[in-house]
Amino acid sequence: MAKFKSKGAIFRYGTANPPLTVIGQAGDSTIDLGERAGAIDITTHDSAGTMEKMDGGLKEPFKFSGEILWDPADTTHEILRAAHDAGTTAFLMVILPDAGAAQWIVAARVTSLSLPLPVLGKISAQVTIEGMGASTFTA
Amino acid sequence: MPTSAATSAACYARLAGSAALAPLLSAPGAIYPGTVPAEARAPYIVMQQISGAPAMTHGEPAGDATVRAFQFACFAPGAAAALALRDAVIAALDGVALATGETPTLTDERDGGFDEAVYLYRADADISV
Repeated sequence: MAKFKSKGAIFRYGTANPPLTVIGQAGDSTIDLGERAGAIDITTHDSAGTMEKMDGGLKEPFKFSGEILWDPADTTHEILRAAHDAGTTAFLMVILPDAGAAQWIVAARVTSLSLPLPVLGKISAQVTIEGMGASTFTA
Repeated sequence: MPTSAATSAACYARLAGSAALAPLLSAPGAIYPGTVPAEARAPYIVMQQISGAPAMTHGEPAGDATVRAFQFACFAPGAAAALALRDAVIAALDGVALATGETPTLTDERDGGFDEAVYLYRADADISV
């Protein structure tokens, strides 16, 4: 078992599978592996211990959300903006900076792109990219 | 993006060249980055950078700060003179573009009261660039 810093994570997005374009200037980010639906209550008079549940089965897809220090002239940022504008489904790849470069790939859409503009701050974008199906994980 | 030193120098140049500020100082150029010479006489200004958050990302060097704050501590024998000096600093910098292309913004102003260490009144202005 080892411990790793999260700085150095790599985020790629593009139409190729795996995607080739590294999204530059990515800041604090979160990857959500998908919430599972709660168990379904199937308790009956016959249930042992008066309780019985079954697996809900459903699971939300992989989701990336994070901050990017936005440069409107940067080609990698323009890929995100254009994909969001057009509603394009492309591929998202997240690579962790661990020794084995653990990674996920998922077909995904840029579902949210907002640019907060604080008076005393930097130009950044809050981006959400949501998977459209199952992701592939490689440790 | 200009370096911290370039921004600081541009602030200094603006204050040193201010016709409104000059008669309020003990001597031309009585504006000191960091430390005050032993022979300095009040009124004078001490300026220093007090903050600057690096723009950290996963894949790039942090590089220069995105927003830097500079403190201008104005010292004078009387409270009114210290406040007038501070207000002149604000007038010279707040919203006025520097030679670096950046535009400073006033973020805080304070009446520091009587400073017993130097036996002078003090008034501060914090300017973000």
